Amino acid sequence: MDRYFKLIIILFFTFFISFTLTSNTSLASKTENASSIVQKLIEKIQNIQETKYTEEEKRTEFLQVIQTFFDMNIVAKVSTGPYWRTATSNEKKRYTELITELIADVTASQLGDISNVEFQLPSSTQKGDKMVIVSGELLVPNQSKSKINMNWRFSTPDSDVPKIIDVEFENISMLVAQKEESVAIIRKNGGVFSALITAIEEKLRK
Amino acid sequence: MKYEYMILNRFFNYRSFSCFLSTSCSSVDEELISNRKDPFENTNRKIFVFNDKLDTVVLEPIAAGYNKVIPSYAKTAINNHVYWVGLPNNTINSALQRKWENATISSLHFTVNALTLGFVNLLKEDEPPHQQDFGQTLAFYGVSEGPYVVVPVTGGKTSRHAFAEVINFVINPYSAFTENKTINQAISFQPALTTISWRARNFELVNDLKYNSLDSYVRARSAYYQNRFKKIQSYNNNNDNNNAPSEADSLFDNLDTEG
Repeated sequence: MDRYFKLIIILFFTFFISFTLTSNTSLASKTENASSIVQKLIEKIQNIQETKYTEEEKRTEFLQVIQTFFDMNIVAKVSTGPYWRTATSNEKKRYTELITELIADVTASQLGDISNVEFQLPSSTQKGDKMVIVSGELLVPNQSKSKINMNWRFSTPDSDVPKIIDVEFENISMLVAQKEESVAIIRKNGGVFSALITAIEEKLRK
Repeated sequence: MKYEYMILNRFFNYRSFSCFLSTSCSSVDEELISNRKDPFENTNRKIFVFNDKLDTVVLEPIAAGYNKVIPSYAKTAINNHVYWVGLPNNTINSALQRKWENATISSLHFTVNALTLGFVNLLKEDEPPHQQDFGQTLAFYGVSEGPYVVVPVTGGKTSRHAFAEVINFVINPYSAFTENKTINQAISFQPALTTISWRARNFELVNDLKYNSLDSYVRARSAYYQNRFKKIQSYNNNNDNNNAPSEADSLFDNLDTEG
């Protein structure tokens, strides 16, 4: 009986230690993965900046970058807050497409003409089970503020590649700001989700 | 002490407080309000439009010219000077918040850099003091932030912060030198210099907010609240800015359960 008891204790500890080690390794790999994705993204942006694209080509390249590195389904869902549930599936699909285009447009206008963008001093922090934040400094030469503190928030599901769900410049989360804007536009229009779609379409046409 | 907090809190919670800034305050229909912190959105938006036009006509061109004409070493020197000028206020507010270490570092930076009038930072290698203003001091003592108000020229802030800026101005240690004509003239230039150097330093960020957003008023308000929240949280919790809680954290709380 005593032998069985010892065996159970040994088995329990073996299981406990292996579980702890595995989960720590998995957390470490998640943070490393997220950091390397940011580096890849910066390299991709540098490539776009170094290649002589037309404005339209640049925009298309940035659109591809956003589609590859960002989880636009989460961005779309979170950026409309409680109104996501009120939208029809067509509206959800259209909004997701438009918000992706809007982000690509803004990124192209902000970073399109700058060369030698660099990301320095990266550090990663695990936030709960499913999120990682990569922090660092974005060096943007020839801009009035050449060093910008940045945080990249990643969703890190166990089954999938980590994807960016939010970007913070100087403590300002773009997703929080987008959510407040979207909610304000929908509220101003009596809770009609399609008003937001119209507003983004108008903005993109300008 | 508790009684003092009660009076201050009542003062800041009083809805009409922000109306001292404007005689035509009007609150918005609850249904149409875009943020509960902003009960005077209609009036605020009007002042925001005025500030926005003022920025487009005056500040933006000046900041653009400043960025073009002033060499980067001179801009760094001006930024250093503007920062140095604010250090006595920083020391006072750190002390009021019983952050003695920060108060000491702040006064040390002020004293050492006084040799160059702050234009050259002689303590570049050392950790700079955390910036503390009277609004943060009021937050430290538990005074509620009050409604959001857009002040003509200076922009949107919580009423606690707006009140604190007035106090910051009143307790300005340089006011002790008002009899000296040269110092007096230098003091009168400070607000303009601070505003221009801030606008020039944040030229692209502010322009992005103005020209790339769907609703620049809401985006400006969001940026203000996020920045302020992080400033107050980071130092009160002894975190650096990057690890301080962020408003974005709460966005993802129910991500898995939402439909």
